[in-house]
Amino acid sequence: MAHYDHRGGVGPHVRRQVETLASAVDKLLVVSTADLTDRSRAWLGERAELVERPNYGYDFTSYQVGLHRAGLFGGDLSSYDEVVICNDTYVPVTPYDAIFDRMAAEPVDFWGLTVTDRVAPHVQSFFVAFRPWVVGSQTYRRFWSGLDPLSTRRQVILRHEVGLSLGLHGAGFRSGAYFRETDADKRLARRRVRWWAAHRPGVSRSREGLEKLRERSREPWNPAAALADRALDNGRLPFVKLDTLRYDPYGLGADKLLTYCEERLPDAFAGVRDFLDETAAYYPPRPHEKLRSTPPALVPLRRQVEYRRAP
Amino acid sequence: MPPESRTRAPHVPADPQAILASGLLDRDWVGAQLGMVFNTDREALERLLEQDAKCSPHPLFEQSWAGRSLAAYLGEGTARSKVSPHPLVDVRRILDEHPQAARHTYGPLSWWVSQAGDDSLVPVPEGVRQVRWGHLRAAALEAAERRHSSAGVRRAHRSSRRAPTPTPDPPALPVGDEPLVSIVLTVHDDGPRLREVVDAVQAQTYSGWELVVVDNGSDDDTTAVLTGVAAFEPRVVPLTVPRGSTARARNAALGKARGTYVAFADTAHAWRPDFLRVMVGHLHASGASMAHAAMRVPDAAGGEWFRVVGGRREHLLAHDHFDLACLVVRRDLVTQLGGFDETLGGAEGLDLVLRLSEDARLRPVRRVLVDRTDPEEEDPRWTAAIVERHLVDWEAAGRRPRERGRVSVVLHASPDLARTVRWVTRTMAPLGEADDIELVVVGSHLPRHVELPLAMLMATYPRARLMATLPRLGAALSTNIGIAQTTGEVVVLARTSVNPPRDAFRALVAALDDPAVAIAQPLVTDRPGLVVSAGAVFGPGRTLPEACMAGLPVSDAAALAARRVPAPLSPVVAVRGADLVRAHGFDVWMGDTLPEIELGIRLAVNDGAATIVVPEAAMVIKPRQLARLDTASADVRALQERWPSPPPGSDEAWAGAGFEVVGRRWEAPAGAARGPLDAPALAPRTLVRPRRAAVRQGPPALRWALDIAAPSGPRGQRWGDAYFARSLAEALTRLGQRVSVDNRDLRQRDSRDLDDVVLVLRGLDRVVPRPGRVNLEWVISHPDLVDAAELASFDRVYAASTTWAARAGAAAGVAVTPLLQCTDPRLFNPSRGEPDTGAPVLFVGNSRDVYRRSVRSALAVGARVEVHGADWDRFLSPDLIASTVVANEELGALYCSAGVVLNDHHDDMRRDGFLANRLFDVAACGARLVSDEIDGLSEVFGDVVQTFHDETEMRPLLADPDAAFPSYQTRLALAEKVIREHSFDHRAEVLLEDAVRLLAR
Repeated sequence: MAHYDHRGGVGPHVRRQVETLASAVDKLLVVSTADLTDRSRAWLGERAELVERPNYGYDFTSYQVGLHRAGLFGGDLSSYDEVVICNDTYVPVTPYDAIFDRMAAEPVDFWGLTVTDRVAPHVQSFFVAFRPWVVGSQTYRRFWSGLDPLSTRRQVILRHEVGLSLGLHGAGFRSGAYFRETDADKRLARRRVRWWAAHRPGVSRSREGLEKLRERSREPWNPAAALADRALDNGRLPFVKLDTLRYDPYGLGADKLLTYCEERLPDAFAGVRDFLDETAAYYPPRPHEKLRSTPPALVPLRRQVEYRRAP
Repeated sequence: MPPESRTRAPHVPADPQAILASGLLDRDWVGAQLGMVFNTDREALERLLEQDAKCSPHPLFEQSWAGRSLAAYLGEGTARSKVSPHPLVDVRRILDEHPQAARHTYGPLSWWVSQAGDDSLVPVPEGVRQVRWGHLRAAALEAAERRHSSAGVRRAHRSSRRAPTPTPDPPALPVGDEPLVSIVLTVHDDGPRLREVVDAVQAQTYSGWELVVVDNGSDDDTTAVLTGVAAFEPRVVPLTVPRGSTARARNAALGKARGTYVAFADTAHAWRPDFLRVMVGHLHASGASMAHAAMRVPDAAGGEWFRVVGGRREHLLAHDHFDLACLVVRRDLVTQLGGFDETLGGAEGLDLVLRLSEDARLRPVRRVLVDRTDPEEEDPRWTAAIVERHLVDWEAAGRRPRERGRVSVVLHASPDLARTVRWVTRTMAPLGEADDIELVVVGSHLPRHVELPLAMLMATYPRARLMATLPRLGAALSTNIGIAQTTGEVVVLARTSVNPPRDAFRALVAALDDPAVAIAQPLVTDRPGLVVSAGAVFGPGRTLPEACMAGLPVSDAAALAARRVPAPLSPVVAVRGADLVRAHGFDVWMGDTLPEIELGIRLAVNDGAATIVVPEAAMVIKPRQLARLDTASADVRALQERWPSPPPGSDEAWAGAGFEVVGRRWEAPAGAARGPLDAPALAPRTLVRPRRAAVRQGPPALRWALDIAAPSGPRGQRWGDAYFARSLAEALTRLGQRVSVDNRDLRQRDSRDLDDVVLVLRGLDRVVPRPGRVNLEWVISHPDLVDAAELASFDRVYAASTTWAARAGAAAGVAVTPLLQCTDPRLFNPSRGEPDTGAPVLFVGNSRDVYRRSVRSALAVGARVEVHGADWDRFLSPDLIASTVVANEELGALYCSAGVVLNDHHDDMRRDGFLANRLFDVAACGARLVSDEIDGLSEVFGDVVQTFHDETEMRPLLADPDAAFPSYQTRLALAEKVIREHSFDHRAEVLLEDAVRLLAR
């Protein structure tokens, strides 16, 4: 598990994640790039094998360090039923035991909590589990041994997150996801993508602009944003990404979502609002993700797309 | 021959009455082709018209040969007398022998058929053996019936654009604890497609299967993918074997299989979900042993084909490819046969099913259950090797006795009927009764309009047989099938892709009298006269054949002292039959271009026997008809695999031809490399130079090119220039020189750089001197075409006129040496005949479209002139023209025996004092000679030659020759002088002396 905290602490949701994970797996290894306080170090060290490393290279470099430490090369990592990489950027809302139990019978070689077709079909890398034959495969080892640290989030997504799935798919491995999108989910997600497209900057009122708008409306979605409120549907989506709450990337009312989550999932979200507030200064707005205000003509449609309390 | 036979015949609506009335509808023949019996002609006609061009109406009419349908032929009127209706019919011959045939309503063929009985001789073209109509028709009917009997097999081979009508569903299958069908899948480094195949198997609507997946030593993550597949699918049995042949991997899988039936999935085919249910269901219900599903094959153009395969062994032998993924077979049958043949590197499925079909019938299931997803076909070499295994019985061929003195000729027939007919007739035409020749023609996959006429032609010869094989076979395999049938002591192997040689086999066969010789090949040349191949030679390094002496003039090859070469390179080779069968013929692995070369190497390495080139057996081929021999050729690579290092003897072969090897060049075909990134195929070319004797008495042996303006080919051979050049070449050769007579087509040959002297016999063409050589020009005719610049460009110029030499030399400021025309004393001397025993007055020469004055004057004074020469019919009555062509060898006898021989000159030649060579020839014979007045005549011939200006001067010469001419004794004295001073040998000496001096400069 990759961990980072600007203040050197361990957030409330992270504590809960570490505790539930530790109880669900045989061995938990936390790779932290935070400048940990003694308390945090002691807390983590009690519950997991803790590896501290300098802060560069995003979570993939932490995964790489962790896998090395766990014995990917020269060790017995493929003797485990499953090897999981995950980070601390989400609030889990479903017990890991339940997740692992269900996915054990899925005829796939590696899986995540969600998959998306954005850029290319891939398993989203905040949580990926690999079966032992994948861990032992040449493609997997080659990926991790050849991984260079990258310095921008976009590059990490393109080359590491998408690249990992692409490489494994190319070798013949199949992937799957815990979250299964229903047809209703897909229709809703498509509506929300269209809503998002109408709010994204950079579209002029011209023929080209209209074409660009159409193109954007047809783009695949990121289920962590487009279907974030499925977490409220008995944890069908087993997490809520902090980025969704922090940035509201599709403009669907993240503040309301947080409120609903606190109402419906009080244990999982205890302290999350405070954590977001306290760390807001370290997460400045992302200029290219900033949305335009809703055009008056679209205002009546808001109710059809915004996050809901229950499906 | 029908030049238009391949063009589509224009559609002419059939007139049934005309066809019936013409007699050109033979209902037995139509019936034999269609496998039917007709009671009336009309019935036969109706079926015939339905068949369009797929059926011939009469044994002697073939639509594709005639280039028109019978209806069109009958409606054509006079054209019927010009069109050949069949390769065995010469309409002109019918008309020559029976002029009344021209008046028949439906043409000469119809006339002939109407009156022919069984004993009538068929009007075959020249070169085809006489045959009686009854015999030929019976042979035709037999051939048609034989072909029809294999129609089912032929149909089995076809793909269709239409999907087959599906067979009904079989009854439902039981699903027990044990799998009913085992699926064998081998995979190597192909994880993603392994997944797809497993998906297709998992999607099957019948679930009683197991899938044995063999990872054939993959280097990538295929093993891991397979582990993943097996982890979630208990019916998958994973197996990993070290990398080996697909056959071995499949056998490993068969060893694990438990099902009653076995099917073979692969990554090049996709099964539809009903594949197992329908296929196993049919087998289970019918009790059949094996079944083949219909398959859909998409083509590159976006269309699709459907293949339904089934039948007995002969049906399967018609296939050159087998899709194993379509097969479901009882497992015990496969196990009993020992599974797949592990020595094979490809086409093992075809081999298995051919072996299975010896006991079991393949049941076709007419439902499309398989899609071919990968267009890649199997390696045709493996296919050929397997088909050979099943079609050629070398053991039986080895036991067959061989007839002493018999020559077997094996032809691989091409679908070009005209060419194959030419080969057959030319091979069999020169036969005397004593010649024991056996002809085996092998044609693979021949269409009807080729097979039946060819079978009829073969029936006219006693020991000729056509083997029409059904699968599409290459030249090497077809030839092997033919070899196994031969009984001759010597076997000649020939490809009909080139034109047939004129009686080249006799010399080839004779060359095999030497027991050290294993293979004899002809000297292969092109039409202008350059060597295309005098065997194959090899440079150092990898085995890469090259045509020996390619590009050198034929005269170099004729001078071959030792004719041994490392291997043959020729479309025709002769080999002893026993050797050939022992060696199992051609190696089909070599593809179709190099089997002769490989055979030569094999016999040389295994038996130590030699290949020789027989210059007397020359064969003329067109450019590009010889195999492609470059670094990119797949067949060359196959040869290199089999024989990594080249056989010895290449340098010796060059040495035997009088050359030494000085290097090797690699040449790309012209235009193949345009940019720096092009990688053209390179062909080797050995660089040679003539070998020189270190010590030699007399003049040095030089290489000469005699350049003449005559074109190549038989017509050019008859030009006066050509005769003159040949005689001069012979004279130079007697002086130890090597001479090539280059017609105008050879003027630019590269190999001229190897020559020492280029001697231009100036005719109609101006020739640019070759840099670096001694360039001589001898003006023997057309002096008016020669200007000062041309004279100055040569090292030395001669002229066959003393006066012109002085005048032109002075005008141009260049020394021009007089060198008169001359004669060949071996052909022209007094002993060639008795005087006054032949024609009283003789003229030999073409008219040149001029009523030549010597002939005109002689006839004007009432002399009876015997004229030999072309183009005289405009001027003379036919009885005066004795012949149009006289061989040079016969001229001497004509001159010697004549009373008076006439001569005159072209106006230009007379003006410039160019004495005709006829003067020298006639004088050398001691004959009386009348000529027009020309400068220099008396200086050479004194008063023996009488001159005339007109009829009045001609009259006394012809009226009383004895009085007008010197005595025979005087004439003999002149003949001696001419032979001494004006022979080709004398001229050759002069030229050689000058050339040596110029070379030494």
